[in-house]
Amino acid sequence: MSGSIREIGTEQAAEGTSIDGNRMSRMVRFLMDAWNNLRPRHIKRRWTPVTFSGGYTPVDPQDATQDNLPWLGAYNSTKQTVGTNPDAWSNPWRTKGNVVSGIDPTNPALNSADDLLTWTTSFYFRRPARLSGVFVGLIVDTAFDNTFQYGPSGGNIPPTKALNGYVNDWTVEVSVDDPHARENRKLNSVLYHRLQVTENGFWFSNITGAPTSAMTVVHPGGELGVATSKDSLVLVDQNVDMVIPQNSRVRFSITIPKYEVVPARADDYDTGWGNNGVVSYSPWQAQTYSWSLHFLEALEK
Amino acid sequence: MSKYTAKDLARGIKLTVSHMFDLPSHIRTTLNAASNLIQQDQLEEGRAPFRMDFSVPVVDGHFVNNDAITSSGPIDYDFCIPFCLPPLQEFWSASGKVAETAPRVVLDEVQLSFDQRAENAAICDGLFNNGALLNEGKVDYDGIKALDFELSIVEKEQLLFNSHAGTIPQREIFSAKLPISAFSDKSFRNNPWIAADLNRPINPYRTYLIMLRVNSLHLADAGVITHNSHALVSLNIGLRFRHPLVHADVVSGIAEVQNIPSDHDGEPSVNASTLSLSVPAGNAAIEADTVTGVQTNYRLIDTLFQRKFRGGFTKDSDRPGYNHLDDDCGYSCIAVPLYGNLTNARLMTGAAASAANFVYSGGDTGNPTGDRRIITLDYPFVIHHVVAVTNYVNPATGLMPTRGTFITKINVGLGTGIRSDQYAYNDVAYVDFTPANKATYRIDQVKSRLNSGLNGDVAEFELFHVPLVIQGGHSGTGYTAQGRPYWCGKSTSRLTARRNVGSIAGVGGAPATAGCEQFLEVRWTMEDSGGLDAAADDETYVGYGGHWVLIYGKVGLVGSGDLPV
Repeated sequence: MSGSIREIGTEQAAEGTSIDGNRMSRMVRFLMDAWNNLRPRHIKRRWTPVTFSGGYTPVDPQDATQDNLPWLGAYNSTKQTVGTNPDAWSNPWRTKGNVVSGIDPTNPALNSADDLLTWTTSFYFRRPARLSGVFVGLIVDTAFDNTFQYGPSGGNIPPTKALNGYVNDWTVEVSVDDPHARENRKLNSVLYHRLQVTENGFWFSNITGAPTSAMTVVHPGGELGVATSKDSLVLVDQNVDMVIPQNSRVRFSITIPKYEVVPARADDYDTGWGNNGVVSYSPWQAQTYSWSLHFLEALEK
Repeated sequence: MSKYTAKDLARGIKLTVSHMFDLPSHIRTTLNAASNLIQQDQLEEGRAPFRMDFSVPVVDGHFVNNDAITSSGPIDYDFCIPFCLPPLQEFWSASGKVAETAPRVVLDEVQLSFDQRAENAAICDGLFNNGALLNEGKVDYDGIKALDFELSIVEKEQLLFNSHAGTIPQREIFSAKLPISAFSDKSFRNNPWIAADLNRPINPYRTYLIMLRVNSLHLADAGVITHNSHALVSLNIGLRFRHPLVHADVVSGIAEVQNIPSDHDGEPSVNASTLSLSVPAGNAAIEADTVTGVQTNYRLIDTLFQRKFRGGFTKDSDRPGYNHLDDDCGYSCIAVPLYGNLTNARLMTGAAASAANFVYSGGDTGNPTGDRRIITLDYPFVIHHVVAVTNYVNPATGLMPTRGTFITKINVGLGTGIRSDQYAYNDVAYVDFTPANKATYRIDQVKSRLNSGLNGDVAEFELFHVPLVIQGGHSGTGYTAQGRPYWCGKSTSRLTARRNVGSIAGVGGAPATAGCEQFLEVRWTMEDSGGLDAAADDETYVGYGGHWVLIYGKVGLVGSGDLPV
């Protein structure tokens, strides 16, 4: 006996069974319906790529100080509130897994209550999707002078860090709100989390020369990765393939530290993220930003 | 049209093998053909979703000045983003009329989100409390009334196709009120907010304008100002559309697809399926399990269904060995923000104080200012059009730049070099223009409404075509003369041999990226040999919210087999 038919219908023909027009019609109709309306599961590749792009270039820190928006404190506390304080904050921590030695926003005795900054963008997915890739570029050039090192001219270096060591105190996260308690960030499911990324593993390139073939428009800040003393950070993760359930609220967050300009206490730290003693030091002005998120969305009617 | 129809067998009719085998034979013929395979309308789900996602770092009280009064009353502060959805090159109509055979694009969802610091509160901006304290970014529970918005999308004809279309949108295709209650609840907030199942048809030759009314962000209170100025931080406006599946771009004769792997030229290497039926003779007995039996042959087709029908592309720009789908590509758009958050005022004018903040130029005579974005390539993408949106929104009576020496340059490049031994770019699209000659590339001018108060000139936005590079004899279609579609995609060493690419000069040659591309880079520079600060103070180089570059193209179906599951 031939194998059974599993996909195109339920009518099976077999030796010794009756044969009539109704059975034959049913077999043909099953096949015709399957052929005329191929179901999603019968298509090998049925996803389409979707790309989100973001980023900005701040003011040259040598020219002016720009406010910290869209970077907001990672921790909600009295120090981060104006007007009436709530009985309790819904979410003291806005994202999960931000650990930076030397910065503890939860300790009111320290100066660092506003010293972790998070830029969060959110998206809604009504149908199941897949997160396929994450890219974050922190671009430095002739105007934005971040060496991504502690020091180099001394300073009060955070615990566990070393002078001239590369900073590893920023976080990239993609999470999904809990389907039942959507405003409780503690219950978020983390799809992608890069914690304490070691910067020297994510330089744009070891190549220090100009591109062999450049774009026609010359960028006034110079080519990527051409400077010898500093380089851009390019975090590229592909093949992430994290499933996003239907009706998901997806949050993409980047968190960077803000060290003090002038340390007032022994537990204030003043190096890293372009902090070169300039009074207007702002870590969000130490580089330009490009990010892209890559998702796959399924075919639909 | 490969849909098949068959009538039910009538009572008393003589049963023959053709009743059972006409359809299997039709399926075999279809799948074994070199073309005209499974069509889009045979798929139960045959439309590909795509999104335009506009990421705006900040919209704050600097944009809103509720003290301002025009001759027609108080200004409504609508934060606007214009866009269009041009058809793929093969469906282009020079007259701007939608052909019957052109795919229909449908707006399916509109969504909006911003950062509330995970609280039921508003976020202060730098003007809060008259800017006396450094409150920007802080949580303000008492200021929740600032989060009261209206969102709409309006439509207008494009001046390129109708010179009498004017600048003001004529029709609204979507509107919604986003009340405070959507963002003020402690246990559930509609952030992201979404409106779904809209099914609004989109005309590919029209301009659309997203309008977000944000009057409440900055409230002018008499007397002591307290909770008066707030920001929409990380504003994200997302539009989701559906586009029917269409045929992949292939090299046909001299009509090349720039930079496409020459190994497959867009076509699958083997088109024929392995379906081999044994159809009995016309007058043979109807049997079940023999070689020519019904069950035996239906089982073969069933196995094909189990193994799934193939099409699309792999992550590394390859085609599947077998291809069953004739239409296996969708539409795609990447909205790239530029100059979106430069200075606290989030705009740039010719005023000396503003020009001094031009990054890289610092207002120096002749030096350009610039911005760039990088977008990594995850899956193959064939670029068909690039459109640039210039923004002149300046509530303080902004004007469009007028100096003949003011030059805008926009360039999309394809690059390789991330942790690579090779560092190179190809130009993909390029345009430069001055106020004097910009009409050559202009698609449309848009003003949100009559006497809008957001700009003192004829338009708040202009849309420009950024032509794809071209090589002689390989012209594409589009708003102005441009080249053929341009393939962008990672590849393995087998697929690094690529078709020639064009250049701005119109000369073809091998791509400098040599099939190793990793990212797209968008650059936008502005310069004036007389100095960017030489313009009148109201001349606005970048309006509030910044410029946009919209990259349109075609993406193949992807998925199974590419990702480790």
